[in-house]
Amino acid sequence: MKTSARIDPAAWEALRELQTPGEPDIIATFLTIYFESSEVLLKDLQQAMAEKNSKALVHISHSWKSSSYGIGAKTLGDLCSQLEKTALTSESGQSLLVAAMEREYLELKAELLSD
Amino acid sequence: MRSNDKNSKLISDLRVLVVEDMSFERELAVAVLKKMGIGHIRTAENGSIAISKIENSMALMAPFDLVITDWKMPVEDGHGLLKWIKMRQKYKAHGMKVIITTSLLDENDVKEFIQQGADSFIVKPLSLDVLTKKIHEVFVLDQQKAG
Repeated sequence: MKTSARIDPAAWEALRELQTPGEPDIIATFLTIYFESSEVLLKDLQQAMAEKNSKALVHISHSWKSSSYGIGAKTLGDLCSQLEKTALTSESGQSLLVAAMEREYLELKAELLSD
Repeated sequence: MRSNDKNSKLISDLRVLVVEDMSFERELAVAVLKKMGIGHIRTAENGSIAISKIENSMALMAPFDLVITDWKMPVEDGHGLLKWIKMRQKYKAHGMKVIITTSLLDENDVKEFIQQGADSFIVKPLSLDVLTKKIHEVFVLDQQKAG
């Protein structure tokens, strides 16, 4: 399994503790679930931005934050946390944060899924 | 039987419902519970589905012992679900426990969880150590206090 400097090794160690002998690799399983849900959240985030829906931005960033920390994507989790905290009060910062989240996610995905 | 054996039997026999809208965290909770040796694990994507599953389990005379629920969810959130469970005497009589999972935590949250009758809470992401400790506190220590 490929890793990335964007991943907190402690999070993967915690996931590996949950591996059951004979079952598929737990990191690969959780990465698949994470990327599937992240694709949906990214689209929802872009839609919320287009609609200027700050409440939706808070909800989406809250959801994405938890799974990002869970898989060890700390930088993305921190960006989600910033957006969750500021989306309702700072419209000007929203687009910068959303762009940073998108970039971080795509780079993480490219590093973990590259051949 | 040694005390630890009794505790591990008690925990592995628990019937658990995990309520979480996000697939990653739902599957993480299931993996942690499986690793703890718990065999009866069911899931629900929101509080409304959870209520149906809790009612069904009661109708089948095999009610859940533990509900682990996210606080913030669409449709019916953890607050509504907790209130629904704690208002019903049949679940109290069975000893159904509720552990809240949350990624936000401040003093007001803790006050609210306690006021609404939550048995414990966990700040996400879930880990084997923390969930084991919380379940032990909620079931084993609770029994020891009662006994």
